[in-house]
Amino acid sequence: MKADVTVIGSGPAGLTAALSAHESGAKEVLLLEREEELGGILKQCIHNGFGLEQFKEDYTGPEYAERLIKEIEKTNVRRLLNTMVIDLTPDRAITAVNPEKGIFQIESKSVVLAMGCRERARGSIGIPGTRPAGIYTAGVAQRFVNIDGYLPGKEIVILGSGDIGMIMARRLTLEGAQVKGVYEIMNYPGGLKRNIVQCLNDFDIPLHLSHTVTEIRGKERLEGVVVSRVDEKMQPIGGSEKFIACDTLLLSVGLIPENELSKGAGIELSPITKGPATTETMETAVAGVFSCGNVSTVFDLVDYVAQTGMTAGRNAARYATGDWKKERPSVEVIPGENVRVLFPQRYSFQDDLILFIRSAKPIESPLSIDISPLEMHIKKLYARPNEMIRVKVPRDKLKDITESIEVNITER
Amino acid sequence: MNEEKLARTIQGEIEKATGEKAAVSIEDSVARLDGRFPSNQSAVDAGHISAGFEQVRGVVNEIDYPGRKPFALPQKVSDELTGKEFDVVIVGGGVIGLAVARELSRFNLSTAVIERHDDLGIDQTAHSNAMIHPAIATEHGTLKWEMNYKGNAMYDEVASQLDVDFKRIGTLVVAENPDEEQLLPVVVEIATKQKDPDPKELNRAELDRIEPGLAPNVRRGVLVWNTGIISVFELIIAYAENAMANGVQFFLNTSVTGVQTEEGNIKAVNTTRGTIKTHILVNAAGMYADRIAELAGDRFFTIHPRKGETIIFDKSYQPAQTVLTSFSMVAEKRSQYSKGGGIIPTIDGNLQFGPTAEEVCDREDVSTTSAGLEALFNRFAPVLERLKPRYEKPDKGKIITHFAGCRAATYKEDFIIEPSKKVKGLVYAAGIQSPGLASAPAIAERVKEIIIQEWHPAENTHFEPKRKRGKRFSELDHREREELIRTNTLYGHIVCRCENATEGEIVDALHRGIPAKSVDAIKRRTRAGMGRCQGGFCMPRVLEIISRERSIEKELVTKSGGESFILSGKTKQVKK
Repeated sequence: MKADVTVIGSGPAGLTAALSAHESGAKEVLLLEREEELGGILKQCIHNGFGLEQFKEDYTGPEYAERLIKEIEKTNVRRLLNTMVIDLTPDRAITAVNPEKGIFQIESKSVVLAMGCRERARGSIGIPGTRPAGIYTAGVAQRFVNIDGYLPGKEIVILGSGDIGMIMARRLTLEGAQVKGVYEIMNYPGGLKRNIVQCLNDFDIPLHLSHTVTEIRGKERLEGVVVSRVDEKMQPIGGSEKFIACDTLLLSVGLIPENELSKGAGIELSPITKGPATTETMETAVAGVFSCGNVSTVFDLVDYVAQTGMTAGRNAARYATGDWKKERPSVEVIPGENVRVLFPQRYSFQDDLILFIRSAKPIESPLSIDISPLEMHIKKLYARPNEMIRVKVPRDKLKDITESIEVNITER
Repeated sequence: MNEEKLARTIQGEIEKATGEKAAVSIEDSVARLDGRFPSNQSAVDAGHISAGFEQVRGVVNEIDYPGRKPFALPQKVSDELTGKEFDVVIVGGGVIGLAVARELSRFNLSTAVIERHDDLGIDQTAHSNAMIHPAIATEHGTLKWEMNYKGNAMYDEVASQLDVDFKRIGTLVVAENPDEEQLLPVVVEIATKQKDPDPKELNRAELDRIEPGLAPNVRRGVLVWNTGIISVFELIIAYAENAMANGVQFFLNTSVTGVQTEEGNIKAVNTTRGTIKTHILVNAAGMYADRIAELAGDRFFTIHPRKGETIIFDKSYQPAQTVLTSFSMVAEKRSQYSKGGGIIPTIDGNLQFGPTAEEVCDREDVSTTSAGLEALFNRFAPVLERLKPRYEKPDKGKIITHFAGCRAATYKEDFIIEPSKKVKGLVYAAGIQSPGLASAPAIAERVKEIIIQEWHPAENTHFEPKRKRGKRFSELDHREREELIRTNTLYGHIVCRCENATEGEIVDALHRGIPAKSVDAIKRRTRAGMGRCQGGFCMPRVLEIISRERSIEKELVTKSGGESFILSGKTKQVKK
């Protein structure tokens, strides 16, 4: 099988990238999805808040997906469902499998990685105790409730204040379950402010900062958890242990970009974002392979995901149609003071530079985001690691850069 | 020394060591301890002290201590097995019981295996490190040692006949300085004495071939090459399937509640699901082997659970090709009764650190602790960092899971493989702890010998030693995958993306041999859910397939049998 642009994954990033590649002139666009329907994780996100920026509408996840899918259906973008990519080589040869075609190869002029991310599980955060039923990631619980129509349990403790965890706190409360509390190891919340207000405060669900689960108890089904307060080094404080009876523990402790395929293709992952390092065009270090959405770095708004998808799709189409030339070498984009996450990692002088920034700590006083060597200082009233900051740097301001671009957050 | 005098001596020794007074009595060389001690550890110490006397053949330890778990027999649930009759009933479906079952199926004996859980091998066997130990670390002259070196040597044939992945990767002991190099011949000498075949001292060039990237100061090492790693879950199922194909019957969810004897002969075994008649009872009951002995009126040992915790890393972190051991690790033994754990690769390409060794109160204790995790990481990470400096540093973020299991240790700390001295027809394969997995084939052979010597069964001329495993998508090349998907499209549907397990494999595991019934049983058979996301993606899908194939409501699907239901009900029904 041959294609101009092949997009792997059909969540918000993949759908947008496929559409954008098509609109940018790629003739044969192939969209691969491992599930039986397009939409990725959007299908189970039945809460609102999707597409506020992109469509100026307040959609639910499925509505947002449907709008994009309808657009796709008007095009000749070829969709292959139940199709899992099992290998990608540095020269863009894709091996995929599905029940109808068996194992097959795809030769594609360019490739867009849009596999999204996975949730961190219990093992990687090392909660000691037994291994009963009743411990799920928030996303698994979301699928059980919203897609399958089942409840994972009735008395629930949530570890981690990621967005999905908070959204599930509300969702399970609405289903009649008792959410006993959300426990967050950091001294600031992990998710968006709007979710703290709308999902926790509005339902009187307590959020305990600087707390974590230190033991899991129960033989067959979860019987309860021990929670402890933690010190500044995030170590449990002896004597602060408290047992909370519950039949379910949901984990909302972070997302990890899903990059097994990327690694196979020889793409090195950034230790900061855990995704491929890309330029503002979303091209990775492997020519003709682009990446977008949560496979690159975990975003907190679908609009940001879609924006990177659009860029990746457009440039993948350019690459495939031969409209791709690099006039000058790219420069590094370096996270400086108070910057924990910075995306993209390089600038290649082809487009405006849209920076996505997460601060290294919560700063609740006026500050400035300084982009050097440009004399660009963006004033903000606060910066919180849980709320990504987006900054657009126009292309013409960047044309004289020769060395690198550095981003610092300065408290004023 | 007469028994009364010996009892007094033991009592004195216990008091000297623990400061506590135990009531000690000895009858037929079996020591019985009573009293109340301040801790589990002190009670365990008393057991070990008593067992240290050569004239004591077993220790029954009834010393009470805070936190001691009372023992209660399970309740009877049905009579469905009443009326059944077998020549042999094997109690315990762990690797020992299953290996024995397969050995006995070479003869014209009707054999049944009863297992308390809803799947096989899920106590000690599943919590082992899936390593076929060399005999170097067991005590020379013990039954453990004999079974270990003999069992180890049998694994090539067992694995090939049963179609189980098995690889001899070797234990590599490396010297980090000239002083340690001087001592390497001693390692060779010990391994040779222990009957590990042909241990070799290697120079740097030879080291580079089997364990590339060692630190520059490592110039010599010893390879004890017979150390193996095996797919332990596959081995369990393989033993069971082969035994089943040769006529053995299996009864899961069945616990023993009594043993009937008549004039000193085994007559029947009472279970939670009815009474099964038999004249041979093989006690391979692992953690509860002492209880089975007690039910048969032949109590001469106590099992004291010793917990071991293990951490497993993601496949992307694979710094060791062998069971890599620094000379210093060999020199410092952690505990008198444990080999101290190690840096152990698995056959599936993950790395393990473990296990720890800790005496615990509860035989069912499979809980992990943060102390255990820290201890393992702090013990082995620096060794790896030192020996393999060019590799990524060990990182806690790469741990995908952490598990624990208990070893069924006796105070003699040796295996008991013998016919009962009191009850005819009762045969022990008890006190089997590490290296029980490595020893299993030899233990099974020894049990078989005991049975044929006494009962002289005829050979089963139809015995089929071979068993084929189901197709594994992840192990096939593209052409084979094509073919498989053409015959069954379910093999074209990947359910577990981390381990590339397909719906075809899951459906097969739900129907073949000993059918998987729970999500964990599917995981053990197909690896679905065993990868880096630990079932985050595939678990709801596996649940759906189980519900569909077994025609049961989703709410009734369990994680691991019993009441371990994954879902609590349908939505909109909580308030009903």
